[in-house]
Amino acid sequence: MLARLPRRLPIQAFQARRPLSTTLQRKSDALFVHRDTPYNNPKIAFEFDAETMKRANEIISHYPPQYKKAAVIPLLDLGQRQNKGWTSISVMNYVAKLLEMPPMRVYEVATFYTMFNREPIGTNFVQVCTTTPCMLRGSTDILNTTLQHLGGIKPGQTTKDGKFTVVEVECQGACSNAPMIVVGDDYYEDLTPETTRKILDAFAKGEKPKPGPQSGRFTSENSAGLTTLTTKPYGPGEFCLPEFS
Amino acid sequence: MSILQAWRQAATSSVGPIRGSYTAFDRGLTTKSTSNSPKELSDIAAPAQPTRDVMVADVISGAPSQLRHRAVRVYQPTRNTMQCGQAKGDRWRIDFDILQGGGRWENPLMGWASSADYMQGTRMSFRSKEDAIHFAEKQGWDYYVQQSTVKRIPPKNYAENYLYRPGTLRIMKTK
Amino acid sequence: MLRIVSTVSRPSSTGRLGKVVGSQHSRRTFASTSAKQADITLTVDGKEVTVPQGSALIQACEAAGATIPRFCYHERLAIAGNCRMCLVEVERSPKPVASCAMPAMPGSKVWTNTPLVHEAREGVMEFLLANHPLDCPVCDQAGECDLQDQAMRYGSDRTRFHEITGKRAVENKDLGPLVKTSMNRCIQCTRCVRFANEVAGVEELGTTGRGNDLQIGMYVEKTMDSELSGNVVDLCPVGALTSKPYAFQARPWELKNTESIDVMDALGSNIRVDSRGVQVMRIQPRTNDDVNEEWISDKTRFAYDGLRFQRLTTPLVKEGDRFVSASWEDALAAIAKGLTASGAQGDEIQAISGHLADTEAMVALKDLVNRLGSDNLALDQVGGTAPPVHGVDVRSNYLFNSTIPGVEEADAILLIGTNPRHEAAVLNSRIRKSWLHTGLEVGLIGERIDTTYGYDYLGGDANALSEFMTGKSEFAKKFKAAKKPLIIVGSAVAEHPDAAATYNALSRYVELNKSTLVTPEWNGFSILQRVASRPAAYEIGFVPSKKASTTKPKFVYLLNADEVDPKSIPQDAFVVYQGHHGDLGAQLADVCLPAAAYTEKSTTWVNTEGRSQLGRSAVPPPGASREDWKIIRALSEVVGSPLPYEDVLEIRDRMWEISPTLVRYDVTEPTSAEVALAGLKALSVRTTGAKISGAIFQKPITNFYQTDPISRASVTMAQCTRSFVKGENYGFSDIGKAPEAAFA
Repeated sequence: MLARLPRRLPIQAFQARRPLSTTLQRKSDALFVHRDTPYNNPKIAFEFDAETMKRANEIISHYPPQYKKAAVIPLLDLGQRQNKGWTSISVMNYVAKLLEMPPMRVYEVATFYTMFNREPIGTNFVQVCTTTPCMLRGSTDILNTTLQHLGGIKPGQTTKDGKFTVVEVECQGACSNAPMIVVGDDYYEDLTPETTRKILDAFAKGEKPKPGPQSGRFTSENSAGLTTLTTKPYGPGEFCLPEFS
Repeated sequence: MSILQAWRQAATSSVGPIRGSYTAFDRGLTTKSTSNSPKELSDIAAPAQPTRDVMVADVISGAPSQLRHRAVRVYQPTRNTMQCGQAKGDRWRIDFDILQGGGRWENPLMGWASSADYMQGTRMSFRSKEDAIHFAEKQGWDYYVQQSTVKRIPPKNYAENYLYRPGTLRIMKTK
Repeated sequence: MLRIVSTVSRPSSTGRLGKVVGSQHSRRTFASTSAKQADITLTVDGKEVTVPQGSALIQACEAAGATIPRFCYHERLAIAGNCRMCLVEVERSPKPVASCAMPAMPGSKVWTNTPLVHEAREGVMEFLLANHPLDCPVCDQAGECDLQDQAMRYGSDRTRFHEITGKRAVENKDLGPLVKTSMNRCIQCTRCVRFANEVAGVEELGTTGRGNDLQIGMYVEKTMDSELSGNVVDLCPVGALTSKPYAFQARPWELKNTESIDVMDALGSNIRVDSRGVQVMRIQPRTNDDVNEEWISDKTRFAYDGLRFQRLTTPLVKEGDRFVSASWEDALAAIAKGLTASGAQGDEIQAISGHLADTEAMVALKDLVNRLGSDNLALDQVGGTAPPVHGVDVRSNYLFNSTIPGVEEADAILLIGTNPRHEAAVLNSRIRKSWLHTGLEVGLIGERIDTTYGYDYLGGDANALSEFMTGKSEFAKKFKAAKKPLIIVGSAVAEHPDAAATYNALSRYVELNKSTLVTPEWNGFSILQRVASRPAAYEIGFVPSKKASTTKPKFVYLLNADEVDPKSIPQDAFVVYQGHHGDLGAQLADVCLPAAAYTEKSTTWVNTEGRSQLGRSAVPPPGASREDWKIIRALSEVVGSPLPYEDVLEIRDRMWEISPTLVRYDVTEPTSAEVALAGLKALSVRTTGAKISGAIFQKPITNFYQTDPISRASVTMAQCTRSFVKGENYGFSDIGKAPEAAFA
């Protein structure tokens, strides 16, 4: 079994070595304690705009009136979207006020979930998956390519022009299309260093490349072409869904 | 008049509550045995303990006579609130009231604490209140008994954290 | 000594709150039995044990006498189930079970001491220790640390943790001048978070982050503004939260523990005074479910350093405009001379008893003054020179009749002119507990206050009370419908210009609603005293007669009286101050007599329920100071009318003559419904026709941290005042920011 592995793995997986720790040394207090800064302090006003408010009310209406607090995660997400992709202390305070919760209960949620960015991010938020399946398929290269292509930043940093923020993330659930990155809300899969650069260039120009596998295959179909179900399925006929009929 | 007499005088004048409280700590003492289910905790007064013959030892013990003029307290030390362990928590203790004035002093230079009172650091542990009382009587010491308190903890339930509550929530639970 | 009470309704409907019919509670209970709940039987370590249905498994194990190690589980907090230390083996369960989060099931077989359990707990302990610093030698908790204790049994003697980056490092938080944090030591049991949220009502404390990076804190920079915050120090099973004033002062094994009674408020919280030599090093709560459960207020806990400062240590005699120290003989002779020289006769001799006067001393002083032919016994409060409006003939007119545990039984509470949060912080936590877990409704008449529970605001003055009595408002309707309504009248109401009108209205209201308010089982008319000595003063009748109150005194004896208005003391009067601190009262005096503070004398204290409790001396009084009653006894000799008691037992006999309840310790004696109603009737007759001025019921305590000479002398309390009351930097906040190495 092990002997067969190298044949199946792309050779890059063994060329690109990662040091023990490539991530920034995180000091936990930098992450989980709020410090007032000019760009992030409770005095900066924040409010949902009309459209967000409509959606927020819709979400809140899903829950019993005394359990409005159940809407805290979707509302924080709405706030983050409205607030240029990051959840400032004002967003949290506003959500707390809206849901009649003690603010600390909102802080607890916002600090628990890593997808709430509590520091400002660039226009394009690039999340590179480096979990095992992606790593085996060469995500280390993808990460290094991304970082170098964006001017040699480190994971967790934003480019000087403020266009990109790159972070390493854990499994995004697209393992069959590894390696992959997420830009904004879209998955870019089946990457090679070239396609990665292309995607980043497109974003740098303000364009939006087509999400999905970049190798040209359809979703997660076999990249070497279909081996089964190649013929038209027999029966049962007219009651099948249209694509099977 | 000794403290004991004073205390008993007060007690006999109001047998009800004092007796009741006596039984309360008798019960507190025995709740640990499993046979004694909480059902037995009623307010029925237990019969008073038969008086025992106590051979007073202080005449021949050679203890300084001043000791007889000092009261001791018989009590069950409460558990330290800092720790959850219960070991030795059911012991009864005898210790002396400290002396007023001049009994203790601090060295002004080094801050060492000194004492002219040889009993201030003495404390004795007993398995039961009766043992402690017996000992005090035997030594001829005046004593008074501080009743012990019993914790009343209602049944607790983890599911409580997740119960649906109609009406306005009064607390947002966390952890 | 845990006992699970079986008379508790199921927690699912009423919350954690046990409707407990206390055994020690001397209230007669035969008519108030609650519905019996089914008990279940299970086997723990081969022993059969019966516990009420709905108990947690850990409670059953404890009832069976098994010791279960735990960090997160605490009897008085909600169950979190996050430390996993209380693992036990249950029959037919594939894995060890966290006994705190597992309900006890009938018939199940549990083992708490098997190899599987040991191994599981050792595993948990290893994870806990992986990130726990090895700083026991510099940690204040060492010696009374749960982690230390349990590591002795379940810990490994060497580590398998070899991470290059080292152990987790967490920044210390600044919670204010009372609680010192050392967050590296935190094992994230969240007891402090649960305490703050459930008991103290500080909803700003929580956990941020997750996993290895989970932190306890407020996320934003804030101090923990609660008058119960000191209790998190006790709750913390490790040294993450320790007492700041006590930091590096002593080790627990050096301390002598003395079980005593607190005097900072009228609750009579049970405390343990820990002393080393002649110094009080700290004050800890004692568990007593009838009074303070397991909590004490910050003032109780931290004001002890006031006992070291500004003490009167020798008798002082004023010569010209300065005090000169004198011997006891000279001082007492000076008083005798002053008494004669002032020419005070009869009621012109006035005695004022202050906040911290103990019962023995007040009895002695009253006897002395009476022997000198005076009835002029005043209290150290606004209008204290006049007889109190509620009278002192019937106990239920001035006591907290519902008793403190009774607060949890009430289903509607009306607060009048009181802020329980400051006047009785621990009682306030009981109200909050009840408010959280039952449908308790609270109404307030008086100045708006920040309680830790919601309330209906009914108005600020006596007119609001009349409006409430008409029963039109929503709250009034609820109150009327309540099965066990409770009226808590603040002690400040009696000092208010509208006192007579208010008490008149209240007594009429109680009379009208006696079917719910005053029944054989329930007395819902309660006065919340705020001063430790006051219930005892009323109990022994330390109040002036009507005639005496109009007399201008020529000789004034201040017994611990430090709140007295200097203008109320005539210029030419001869003033004696007896007390332990050089506070306001001492400045007014011609002769100062140094007395003992509450940690230095074994005296009786009567709390607001009328519960007598015996304090105990922990340390000797400093210098030449003496116990209060002995001073008065000595003085009686010098002024020529000696008091007829020579030792503390004889004075307690005298107290028994005055009121037997004064020597029946640790119990409350309820007033019968008939007597209580008769007392209220007399009160309403006495106060008919009183006019309402419409002045607001002001809260009597504006600064919780400084209410008496001890807390005013305390540095810690001064810091609290700066930090919490004035919101300033209290001068030590840099400590939290400096690296720990600077102190280690």
